[in-house]
Amino acid sequence: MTSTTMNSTESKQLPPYPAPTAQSMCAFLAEYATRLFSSGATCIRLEKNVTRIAAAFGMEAEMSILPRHISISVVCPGSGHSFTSVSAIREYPISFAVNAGLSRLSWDIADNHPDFSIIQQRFAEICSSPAVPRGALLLLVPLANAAFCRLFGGDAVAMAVVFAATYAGYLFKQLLGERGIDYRLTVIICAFISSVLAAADGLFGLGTTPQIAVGTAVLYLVPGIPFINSFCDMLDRHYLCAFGRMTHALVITACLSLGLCGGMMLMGLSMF
Amino acid sequence: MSTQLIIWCSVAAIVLAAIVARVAAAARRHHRHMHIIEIGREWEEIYIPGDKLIKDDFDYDEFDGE
Repeated sequence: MTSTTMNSTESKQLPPYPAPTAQSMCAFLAEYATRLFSSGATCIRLEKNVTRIAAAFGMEAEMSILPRHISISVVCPGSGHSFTSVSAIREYPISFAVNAGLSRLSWDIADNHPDFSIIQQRFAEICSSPAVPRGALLLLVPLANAAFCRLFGGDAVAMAVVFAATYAGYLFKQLLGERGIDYRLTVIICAFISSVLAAADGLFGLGTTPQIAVGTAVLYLVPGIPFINSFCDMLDRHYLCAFGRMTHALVITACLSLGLCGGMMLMGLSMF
Repeated sequence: MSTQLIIWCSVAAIVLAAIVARVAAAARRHHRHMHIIEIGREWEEIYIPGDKLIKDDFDYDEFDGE
C-alpha cells in the first residue's frame, strides 16, 4: 500500500510488518487522542504525538480539537485513501502516568516501528494501568494541603486542622464520585464541609492563624491542571479549546467559592 | 450552644458517620466470613503446653473433655 509509492529514503523507515490500513489507523488515533486529551494533555502534545504515530507508518494526520470532540483525518498518500473519525471525549481522571505512557508509546512507534497489533496491545495496557490507590490519595492530599497551610504561614494547629478538614472533604469527594454525582455539586459540598470543619481553629480558639486554616482547607479543589492547560492552549493558538478549558475551570472555581462562602457565612467568619 | 457550634458538630457527625460506614464496608469486604461476636470454648483461644491437638486423631466432641 504505502510502501509502493514511497521513495527509497522513506521506505527504509517503514515498519517490517504489514502496515495498517488508513481506516484502522484512523480508528486507533481517534481512541489514542481522546484518551490522551482526557488524561490532561495539552493540544500541542496531542498534535505532535498523533502526527508522529501517523508519520511512522507513512501516513498524514490532521486533527481539529474541540472542547468535547476530536476530529481526525488520516490520509494515506500512496493509495490516496483518507478516513475521518469524530470521537467524543469521555471523562477520565487526570493521570500523568497515562499521559507519559502514551507519549512514550508514540516515541517507541516512531523509533522502533513495532507491529500494529503490539501497539494496540500496549495502548490497552497503558489505559488499564492501575491508578494511585484511593487510600493513599486520601492520605497524601491532606498532607499536601497541610503543607500549603504552612507555606501560607499557618501554625502547627492550623496544619492539623487543615489536614482533618481536607481528609473529610476529600473522603466525600471520593464517595460522591463513586455514586456518579455531578462534579460541580460535589465541589460545592466538599468546599462547604472543609471550610466548616476548618473553622474549628477559630471556633474553639485552638491556634493563632484560623483564617489561614479556612483559606487553605479548600485548595485541593482548585482546578489547577485545566487552568494551566488552557493557558498552554492559548499560547499555541488553540483558542477554542483554551476557552473551553478556561470556562470549565472557572465554573469549578465558582462552585468552590460558593461552598467556601456558604461555610464561612454559617460559621460567622468575615471574608475581609 | 451557639449556632456555629451546632453546625460544626452536625457536619463533624456526618463526616464521622461516613468514615465509620466506609471502614465497616471495607472490613466487610475483606473479612466476609468474620463474625464480630462469636461463642467459643476457652481451649480454642488458650493453648497450654500438653494440651491435645484437635487435628490429630481426636474427634471434635471427644476432645471436649468428656
